[in-house]
Amino acid sequence: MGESQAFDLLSTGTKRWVWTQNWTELRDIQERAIEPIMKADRDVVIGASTAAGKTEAAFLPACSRVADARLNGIGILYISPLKALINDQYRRMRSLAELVDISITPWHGDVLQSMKEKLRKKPDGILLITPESLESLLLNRASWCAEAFGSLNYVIIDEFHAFLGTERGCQLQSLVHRLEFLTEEKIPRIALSATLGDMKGVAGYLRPEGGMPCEIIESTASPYDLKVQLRGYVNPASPKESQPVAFELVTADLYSILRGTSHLVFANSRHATESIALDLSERCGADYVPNEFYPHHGNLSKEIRESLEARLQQENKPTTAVCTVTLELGIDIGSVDSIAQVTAPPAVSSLRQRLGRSGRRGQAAVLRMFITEEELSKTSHLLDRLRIETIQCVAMVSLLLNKWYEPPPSKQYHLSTLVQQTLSVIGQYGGVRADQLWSLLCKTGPFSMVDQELYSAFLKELGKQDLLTQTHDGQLVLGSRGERYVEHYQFYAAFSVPEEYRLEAGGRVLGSLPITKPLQVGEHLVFAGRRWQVQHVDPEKKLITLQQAAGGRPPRFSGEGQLLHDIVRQEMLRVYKQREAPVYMDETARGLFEEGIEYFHELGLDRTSILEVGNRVDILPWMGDRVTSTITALLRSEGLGASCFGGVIDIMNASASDFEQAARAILSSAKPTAAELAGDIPDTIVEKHDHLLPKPMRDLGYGAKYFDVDGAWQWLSSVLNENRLKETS
Amino acid sequence: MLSDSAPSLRPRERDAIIQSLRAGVTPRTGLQHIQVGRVREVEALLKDIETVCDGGSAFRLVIGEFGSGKSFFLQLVRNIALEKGLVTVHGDLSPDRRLHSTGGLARNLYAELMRNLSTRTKPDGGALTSLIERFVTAARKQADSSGKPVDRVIAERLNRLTELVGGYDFAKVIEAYWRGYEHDSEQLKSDAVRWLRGEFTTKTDARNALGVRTIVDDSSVYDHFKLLSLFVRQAGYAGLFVILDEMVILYKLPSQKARVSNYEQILRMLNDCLQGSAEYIGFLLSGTPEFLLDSRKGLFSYEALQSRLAENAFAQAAGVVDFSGPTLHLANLTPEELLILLKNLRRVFATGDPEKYLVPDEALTSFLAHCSNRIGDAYFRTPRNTVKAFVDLLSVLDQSSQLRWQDLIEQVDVQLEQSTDMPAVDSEEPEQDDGLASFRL
Repeated sequence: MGESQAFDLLSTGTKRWVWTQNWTELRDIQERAIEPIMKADRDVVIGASTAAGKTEAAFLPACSRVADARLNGIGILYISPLKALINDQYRRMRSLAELVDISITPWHGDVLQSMKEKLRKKPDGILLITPESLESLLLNRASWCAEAFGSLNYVIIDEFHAFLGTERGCQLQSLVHRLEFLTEEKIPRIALSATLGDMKGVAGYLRPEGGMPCEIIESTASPYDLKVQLRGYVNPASPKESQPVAFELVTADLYSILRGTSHLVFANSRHATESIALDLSERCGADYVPNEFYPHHGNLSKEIRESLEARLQQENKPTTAVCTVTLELGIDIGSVDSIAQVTAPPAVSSLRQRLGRSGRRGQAAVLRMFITEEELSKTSHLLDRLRIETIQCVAMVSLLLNKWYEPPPSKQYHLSTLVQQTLSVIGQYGGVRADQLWSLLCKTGPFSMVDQELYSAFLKELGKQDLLTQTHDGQLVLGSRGERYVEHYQFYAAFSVPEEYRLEAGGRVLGSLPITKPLQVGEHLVFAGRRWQVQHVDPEKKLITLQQAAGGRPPRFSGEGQLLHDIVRQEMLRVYKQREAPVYMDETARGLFEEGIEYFHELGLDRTSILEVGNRVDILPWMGDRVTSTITALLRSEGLGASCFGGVIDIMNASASDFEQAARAILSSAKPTAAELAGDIPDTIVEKHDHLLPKPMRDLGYGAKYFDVDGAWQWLSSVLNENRLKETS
Repeated sequence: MLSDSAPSLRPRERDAIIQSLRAGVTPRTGLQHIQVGRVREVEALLKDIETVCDGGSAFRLVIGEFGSGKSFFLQLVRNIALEKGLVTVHGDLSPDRRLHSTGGLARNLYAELMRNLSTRTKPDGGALTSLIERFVTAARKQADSSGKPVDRVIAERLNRLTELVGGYDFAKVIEAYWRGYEHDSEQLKSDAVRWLRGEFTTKTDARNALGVRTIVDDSSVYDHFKLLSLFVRQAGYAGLFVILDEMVILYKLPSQKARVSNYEQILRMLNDCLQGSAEYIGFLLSGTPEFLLDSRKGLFSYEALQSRLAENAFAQAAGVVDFSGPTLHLANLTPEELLILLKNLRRVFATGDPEKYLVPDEALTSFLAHCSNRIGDAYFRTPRNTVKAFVDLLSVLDQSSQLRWQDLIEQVDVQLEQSTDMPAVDSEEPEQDDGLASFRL
């Protein structure tokens, strides 16, 4: 430790702890974080992979300063999205806290009351907490908070990348902002995050309201160990008795690879998780071994999910949870041995996050993808021929290795979270004026998209629902319904598990499906290998009524439940064009990969993005789902029967020139707003409290989230230009 | 009591009154110099005070709008009560000071009230120790004259208390104070006072310090009011008046369960007073109309309270006000009364000397006209801001004699008062108002 100058800045107790750990030197980020954190005049973002010592990088200097200052009250507030992680950090940081002689208290739903009571009596040291528990403290113990956090030195946010752009992230921003308002103090925030391409964007998300400089400390150490495998499976077009279907091949492999250790398996719908888990547990039964495979999705009761999570925490019992892709935030699981994807991951960010849960204890993170493609026949859909799912996996892994990550979506309204925060602030203070609420939450807080006019309409709506009432002197107080809302423990969470839609045709229930893309009446949808037309959408019951549709065989993988980013599709295009097969594929996967690439070039898709197939036109913009959905909606508004699956827009009964004509018509008329486009979407209830808002208000948030009018405009004009050039040459 | 009789005014009182009014708070002293109107209300409370002095009990709920002068009225009543020889305890409720809780919040209220315990000679609070001293002195005198030992006398005097809940320990604490007095133990004396102030938080501490098994905790706050009312009698006072302001806090509690249990405590007070089971004690509570009338969250949401606190239907039908009911709606000041109020303020500024009046009568009327233009009827419904603006105006005139009131009145900025429980959010530039400041649902 001799050469380290920064090390000398640490307090004696902290240094002693480092020595007791038998470390010979501080890691690179730990060394570099000491000075900026100890100065306590700026925010710090520490970007490094798992097991790079981020936690210590933040806690060593923070504890040093807090131990030196010897203030009353809580010195360090550590916020983590996972209870499991809090328990873990509590175990790890306890010895440090003891040596520097400050207390450390974990705080979430499962922590013993006696520990909480102790902190309530004497707020002190380090508090490790979830955003939901912090919400509850601010709401129910506001004056305790004012006292306990009065001399707070640092707010440390772990797994910060998991918060980016989410409802929970918005809640977190609001909570920390409210905390600063309560204590009338700007408190340095330290974010611990995975290394991402755009660290500046991360810094901006840490303090959207500005007011404190931010230093970014990125690990220069080699990227973490990652082992990836892509396994391909082919589903026979016309299965014979003796030939097993792909599903059985996949489960057989899952069983033989995963049994005996702990894993997470991600499938794309509840139905799929159930059937995979069932098949795997039947295999356990057939082999007379204890079952260790369990489904985990939003429809299961909280008790079942929690007992599974608890089982995963016990490291002595091998356990594998089979989860839906949509249930990212609902899983509170510490670490597992590996991750298995039975379908293409929905985003690089979620892939990254899942990998973060694997290989924590210094081991390599392991990702296995089990991708099934259809055996080709004459009627196969374009996307099947392109082997789109395999290519998507390849593109995502390539982006992951390049440390690219979906940036937090800008310009979100988060009106659902604003409902929660508005009620919570009122509950915290008792009676608050409308202009103050706006100033706190919107003007100086994270809801900067909401202007006074919108907020006024928003409050009126909450008033109509009896969530708020107003006293004679103009203060807003909770209404009787608002009170019941706030009292319920579910209020503290800003997010809810997205619901799957029930699909019904001719009075018969077909099944359920997660849908995250804008779906209009009349659009086509793929389910159970068939093409359906949407007849009606019931947003309250989450019910879609369908009718069978003509139009040829649909693709097997239609990308429902995903919202791909522009860059991912661009990367897919690049993979097609470059023809380089990555090394991590098995033989079948490599075969599928090559088939897809061949077909791509056969069709000349590197030169054109418009294909005529019989009486149908397929458009391949290679843009993200927001742009693709917007183009689809615009084409539909021009009277074309457009639907989109997996990034491809197919237009029934139309020709390439019909498309061009429509595109020209779109570009020559006034640009619609995203909210106007959302007006045609029957169901815009997505986030937890959306159902409390009227449709036009919801459409604002929905439009901003699911549509990209500028992007669509740009793509349409570029495609028209290209065609014009081709004609002239 | 009213200004016609023109009581004399001391310069010190003048400064104190002006200072308080400019800050928008109720002056502690000299209220008689500015008080106008509300004669019937004051009379009703005078009757209550007499009832308490005669060994009865009283319960009044003062209801008025924000800024209508509730706190002023409470202060006025408190002064009268002190004059009549009562002991008063007074305090504001807040989210941390409630009538009922499980987390020490009710004890917080009790502690606040004990800090503010006042007597005629100590009208500004902090009179608990002198109250106990007075009790001990009285006991010693009696012991001297009767020849009994002092602790016997104390035990006899406190005998009545021990019949009540918690009375046995209360008596033991007073005895401990006497022991401390006798043995010159400051520690013991201060422990006893601390116990009575509700500052012990664990029973173990209390047992070690004073040998008692209980402490004043959330559940025993009301019982201690009753004990105190008997104790002040033994110390030679006429009775106890408990004055609680800002009851609207209970209305705003975010949890229905918490609110109802607080309302239950109010019902307990009301029942004890109406049934005559409490002695030498009066309760005076104040809140806004919502606190009483809101049928979903106010006192009226509690069936038992609604039937007891509802206005007299016959009086309503006859178009008169029943001043004998437990609820007292503070009547608005009439414009005429407000004019008298301004005259009183002018008089206070001139330290009672008409020669030194800063403005002539016509300035008062044009000031009221100006207020009426600015904020409409609100100026006489909620006199606080009108008074504040007027006092500000007079202060300016008082300091620079070359200014003319005619020029100043137009510049006076009277604003509707913005009430809120949240501190102001500071923004660098003032926002032009898009209607949120005057937002109505």
